[in-house]
Amino acid sequence: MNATATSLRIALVGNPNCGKTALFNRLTGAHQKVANYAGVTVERKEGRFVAPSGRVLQLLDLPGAYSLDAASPDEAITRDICEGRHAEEPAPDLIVCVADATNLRLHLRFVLELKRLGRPMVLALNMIDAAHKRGIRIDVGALERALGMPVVETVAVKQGGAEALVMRLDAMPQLSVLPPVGAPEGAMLPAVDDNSIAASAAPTKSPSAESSQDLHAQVRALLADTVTMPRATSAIDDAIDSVVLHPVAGLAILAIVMFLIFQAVFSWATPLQDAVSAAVAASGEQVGAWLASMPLLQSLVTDGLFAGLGTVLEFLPQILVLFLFILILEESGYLPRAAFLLDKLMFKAGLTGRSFIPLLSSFACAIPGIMATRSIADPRDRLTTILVAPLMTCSARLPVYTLLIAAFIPRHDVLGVFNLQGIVLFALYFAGIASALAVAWVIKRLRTDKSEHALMMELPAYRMPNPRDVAWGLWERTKIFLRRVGGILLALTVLLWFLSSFPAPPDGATQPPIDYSFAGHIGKWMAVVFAPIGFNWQICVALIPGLAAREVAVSSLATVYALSATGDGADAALGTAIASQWSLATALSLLAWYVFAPQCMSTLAVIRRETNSWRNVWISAGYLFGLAYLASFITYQVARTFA
Amino acid sequence: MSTPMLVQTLALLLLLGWSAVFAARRLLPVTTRRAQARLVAWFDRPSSPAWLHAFAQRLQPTATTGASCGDGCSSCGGCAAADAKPATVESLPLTFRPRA
Repeated sequence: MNATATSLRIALVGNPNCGKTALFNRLTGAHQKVANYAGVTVERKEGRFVAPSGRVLQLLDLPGAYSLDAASPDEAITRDICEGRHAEEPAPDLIVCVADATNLRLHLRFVLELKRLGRPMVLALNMIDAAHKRGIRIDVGALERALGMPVVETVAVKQGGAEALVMRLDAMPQLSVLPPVGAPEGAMLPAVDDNSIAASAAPTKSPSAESSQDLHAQVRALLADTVTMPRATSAIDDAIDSVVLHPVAGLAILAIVMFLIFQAVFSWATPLQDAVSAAVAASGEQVGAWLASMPLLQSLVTDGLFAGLGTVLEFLPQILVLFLFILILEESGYLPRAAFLLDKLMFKAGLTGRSFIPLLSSFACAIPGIMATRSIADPRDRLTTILVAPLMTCSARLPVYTLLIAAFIPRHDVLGVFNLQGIVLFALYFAGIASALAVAWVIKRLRTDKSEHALMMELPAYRMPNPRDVAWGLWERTKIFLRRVGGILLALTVLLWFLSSFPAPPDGATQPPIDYSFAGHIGKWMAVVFAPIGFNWQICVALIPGLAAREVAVSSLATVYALSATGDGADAALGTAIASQWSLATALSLLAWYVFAPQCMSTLAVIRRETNSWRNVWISAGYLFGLAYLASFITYQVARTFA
Repeated sequence: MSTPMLVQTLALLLLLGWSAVFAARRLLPVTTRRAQARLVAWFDRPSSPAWLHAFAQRLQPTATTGASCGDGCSSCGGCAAADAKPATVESLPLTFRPRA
């Protein structure tokens, strides 16, 4: 019998934002996303670790749930697995119920509900350090006796903070002799197999309202017997919240925070961006010189890879500055407060405060944002959020925005403090948010069925962001970006170079070779459709590979312009080339296009998967293309009139 | 053909081939897997030599779940754990509710 066969399958279960994923990462060495708000984990994650005795323990990290009465799709996954009803996942041998030690009043209720399942359980009192700081004293021995299950203290975010839990798990007997919860000390289960464990859990029913009251009474009694708490909430958090959650001051603070982030994206990233740009240009020249005897390969490397991919690479510093702020906000606990502040506005627009976190996740990428809608219980709200999520400005759009802004918007100071380029970037992000609210409002008007609205959201304790976690988050973003550059962007750039270089121009040709290529012909056909919105054939060529990933549009433009350049303009950077060849109206039109255009096939595929409907995909793609064309048309025509 | 030209042709063919396969697998995963499976079936015929059977085994498409965490789109970084094992989250269908 091997180690895996005899290992325990352990599920980490608990209320949202109690530190399950942090504990999962601590135990398995994984780097799953953690943040200081509820609803980060929406699907199960699996890992394993080797205990000091050499025993292999399999760990399952489940989405947070407040109750086994699942209110949302992510909670349903947790319920089904805990109750042994999941089609693909056997019931766990052991449940490690993670509870926030600073908020036992809320978390113990779910512990008691899980206990009713009758499965072997261990309670992990996480964030015990924060509890001690607040003067909360927990009599672990008394709690253990009262609950009839082992209770251990953990600090998942600290090195060695889960050692007590590991020792406890390592000392657990084999699956066949695990004691059920509530059993007298030393009592053992009779020998059972997986099926019998699952069968024993299957008939368990969710507690009724009556039994729910009973659970609350039990929690109160438990707290009275085992916990000493100076006050229910943190005094510092209450003081901060009195300002941050103020209906006027709170919204003003939120606007200032967002505004400053976009200012910093332009101001802080410039030196690094210049350094990357210089390094790429120098390397391109060097490699180009080495390949002088192979003209086609030289063209691919210099015009395709260095001009195309190098241009995209220059935007990495700006993306990292943006994510530095997002990670700090995520860790601090401010984001759920922002959701609370915006709930009223979002409800008027047909959304809910619960949509805030998925929409915010969409600023990184619409895919995790759409996945995060699983935490929205109401199907109508969920679908609306899914449909508007692509309007949030994902990080892939940042290279396009910053390229055009740097080329066409002067670097003027406004009011002596603000940077005009930063203000335009803020306006573009704001346009995405405003469009999402407008589209949600239209969906609300089209759908007359009403759903109950009540935002029940846990506001986590404020936390000082951990520099190590923030640094790790930035490293992860860098890896993701570089993987994209070295993967799909590289592949599409090579293919675009081929389409832009072949067939060779006929004898006596007077135009640049790209005019006679496949890409040149395709671009010129498309230009007929896009002429009313000011797009030339080069932009049209870039739109096609941009369907795979938005930032490919930048590398494609760089490749197309590098291949189109003749004489003195041949060495010009993309920004300089477009600034000299495009009108301001065209640039603004392209910016407007990118606020709306659904140029990401992965996003459409995830909409199909999450809604199980092609209809929603067509609705989404159709309205986004329609809006993109309309917005670009209006922008172009108005800008041309006033220019 | 001179040596530099031969090197250039080979390098271009390799790069273009890799790019086409990579882009197809990423952008048309289901179609690519179907084509791969058909190719495997053709290589794996009883009359095929042993080395072709072995090659067919290596070419066997791996299971995947389509676009979701773990499909390798690598756009969000949420795939780390799922990389080891295909994600198997059941789909959660949504439909428009009829007008009241």
